[in-house]
Order: sequence, then structure tokens, then C-alpha cells
Amino acid sequence: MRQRHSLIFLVFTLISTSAIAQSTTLAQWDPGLSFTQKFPNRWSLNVNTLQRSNLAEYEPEGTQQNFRWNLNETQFFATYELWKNKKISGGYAFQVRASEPDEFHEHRLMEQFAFVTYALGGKRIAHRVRLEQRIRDSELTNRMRYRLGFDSPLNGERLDPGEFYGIVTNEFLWSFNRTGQSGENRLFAGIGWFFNRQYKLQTGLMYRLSRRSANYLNILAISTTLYINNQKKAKQ
Amino acid sequence: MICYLQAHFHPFKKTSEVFRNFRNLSLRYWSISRISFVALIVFLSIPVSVSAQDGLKQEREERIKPDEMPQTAKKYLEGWLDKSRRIRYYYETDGEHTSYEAKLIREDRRFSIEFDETGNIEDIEELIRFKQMPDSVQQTVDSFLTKRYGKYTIRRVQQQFLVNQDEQYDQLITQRIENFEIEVDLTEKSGIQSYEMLFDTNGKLKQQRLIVRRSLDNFLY
Repeated sequence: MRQRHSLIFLVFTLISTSAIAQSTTLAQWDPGLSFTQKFPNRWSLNVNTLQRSNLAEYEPEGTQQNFRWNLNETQFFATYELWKNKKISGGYAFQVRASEPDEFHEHRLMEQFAFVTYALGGKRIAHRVRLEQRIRDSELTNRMRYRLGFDSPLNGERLDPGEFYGIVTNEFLWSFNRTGQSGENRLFAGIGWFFNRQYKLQTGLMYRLSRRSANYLNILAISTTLYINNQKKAKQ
Repeated sequence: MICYLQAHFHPFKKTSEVFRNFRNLSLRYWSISRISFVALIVFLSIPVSVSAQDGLKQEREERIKPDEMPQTAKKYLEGWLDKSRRIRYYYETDGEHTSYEAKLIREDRRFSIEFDETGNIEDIEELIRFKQMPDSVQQTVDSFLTKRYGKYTIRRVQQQFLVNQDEQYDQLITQRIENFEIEVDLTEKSGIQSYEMLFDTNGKLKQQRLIVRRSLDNFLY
């Protein structure tokens, strides 16, 4: 029964939530930085970090909270390219929250497989499947994630340096442990500025819908990430 | 350092104790991490602005309106347009060489017609499947790639037609095929690479160019 409820919840997360009576709404800002070092073989290493701040919070009772820093999350990944645009990664992440700023709130192990199913005319459709083990002091929670993404140059069929691109992604998340399970959906739409093959800046709006106890949590986040990609210059 | 680790991360300690020790470690480093984060972004943003300027000098391709095509090219295309659909026009430059391109679909065939700066036709390419190439060319190309690289994946094949300015769609017959342009993924010592290779009608390699693909980092992380 619980599984069926989770499934229904996941299916309807894309639909407007105006009908949900008891809900908390959060506005957040997620500036981030991602650095990838590619080696002259199939391996690459990545470190990325984001600082999440709550811009405003609206409780069902009408209370409101203003700007406050929420958390930092830093991730480390080692990625191996199985074949062109098919990559497996293993990673570790930690999270520090404002509620306990002097302690690690969470340690996380991650395994992921990412692949591209369409890459023509500058447009790409990419998939990411990720398993996570979230280790907290009180419990261990498993999380399965699937993200479908599409990006495309905004002008022409090739993304040249200095041009903009559009990106849309949607991700389903399913968390479970011995005590229960929950679902979440993250929809992101944004634009990116492709400076060159080393740097790009991506920003957009992410809508996250999740269930917290009996309430639903709506989060609208401004996500901004600077991607730095360092790799050996290819021979022409 | 070793003594510290032995004291704090004893192998027989409970997991919860180990995490507690991690927390103690974070106390020292976390206070400066927020400042480091901002400093890192500022520091890394400096070369970005420089690199962005460099990037603007490189190759550029953009979609244009039909009116922006050279007059000669527009005149040539008149014979194509009435039976074509999904017509798109592009301008391309690498700083020295400028070209114009029209992409369209005619009778379910995907064509790309390229013109020089003055609008004179340079070549016509048609997107096809590898299996649509003549059997002999398929075998020669397959043999060449297998022998040199082992495993490979064909991503895209285009056949190039030899055309004159006065020749139209009806003249695009198989006998006028000049080259096959093939995009292929393969393995080299430096990792997995993508190449654009030009083969003649006998399957002999004429030239090749490395394709630098966009990073997937915004999908991966």
C-alpha cells in the first residue's frame, strides 16, 4: 500500500501542486562550483560544492522566515569512461548544516552510471542513474535517483565559445530505509553561458517537490553553478 | 599525524565514535570553508573573463534568416525550396573562411547545401545510414577501422555530391557521389576519441579531423 502511494506521488509530482492543502514553500539560492580534471586516459576526477541558503520560507500557518544559510554540500567523484558518452562514477560527499555548523551532518557514498542517447545537431539527451547511501548519526538511508536531461545551443547547431545554451532536466528520487520511504521530484530549467571548453556558467530555476511527514515541501531554488573543466588540449 | 589517526580512528571503535571524530575534525576546518568557497569562486572567475574573450575569436556558427543568404545562393536554392521542408539557414566562419549553409528535407532525404562567401555552391551532403553506403565501401571502411583501432562506433554518415552551380536536385544521382564523411568514436592510447573522416568512393581515407566534444559535467554532477 505504501509503495503504491509512493508511485502515485512520483507520477503526480510534475503536476501542479496547487491542490495540495498542507504545504511549506521555500525559496532557496544554490550557488555552486564544479571542477573536473580529465586525465589523458579514460579517468577524470571531480570536486563540486554548493552553498544552499534559504531566501524565504512560508509555513502553512502563514509564518515567514527570512534569509539564512542552510547547508554546504561537497562531493568528490572518480569517473571512468566505459565508451563514448557512457560513464561510471564512484563518489563521496559530506554535508554540513546550519543547525549544527561544527559537525558533519551527513556522509554519503555514491555510485552512478550516466549515458547519452542522443547527440546530434548540438542537442543532447543524457541520463543519469545514481545510488546513494546517506550515512547520518541516527540512520542509514538509501536513495535511488534517475535524471533525464536535455541541452541545446540557443543559436545554430553547434555550441561555440561565447554562446548560450538551454538546459532542462527532471529527476526522480526515491529514499528508503528500515523505517520508511519517501519520494521527491526535481525539475530544472535554465540557461548556460559557454565561455569556452574549460569554463561554463549555468543558472536556472529548480522546482523541488518532496514530502516531509504529512506535509508537502515545495522548494523553488535559483541554482547557479560555475563548471570548470581542465583537460589536456586535444590535437587538431 | 599517524599518532593522531591511531588515537582518533582506532579500528575497534564503534562506527558512531568514528563519525564523532570526523565531526571534531570538521570543527577546525569548517569555520574557514565558507570564506574559502567565496574566495575560490572569485579566484576562478578571473581567468574565465580572459578565456571568454579568447573563445570569441574561434570558429562560429549561427542560424540566420533567409534574407541574409547571398543572392547567388538564394537563386540556386529556388529550385529546391518548393518541394522541401524544415529549411534552416546557417552562417559559419573560422575567422578566415566564411561559408553559408542551407539544411532541408526533401522526399525524406536530409540535405545540407554549402555555399562560399559569394554564394557559389561548394558541395551538397546527404545524411545517410552506414548500411546505405555501397557494400564494397562499407567493407573497406570497416576493415580499415577494425585493423587500425579495433572497436569503433559510427555516429553519423554523410555522402558528398559533386555538383555544379547549374545542377539541381534531379542531378543528384549516385554516380556523382564524391566522398563519404563519417563521424566515428574509437579508442586510442589517449582515451576514447571522436573523428570526422573523409573516405573516397573506394573507401580510401582522404583526411581526418579530431572532433572535440562538449563536456558532460553539467549532466554528471
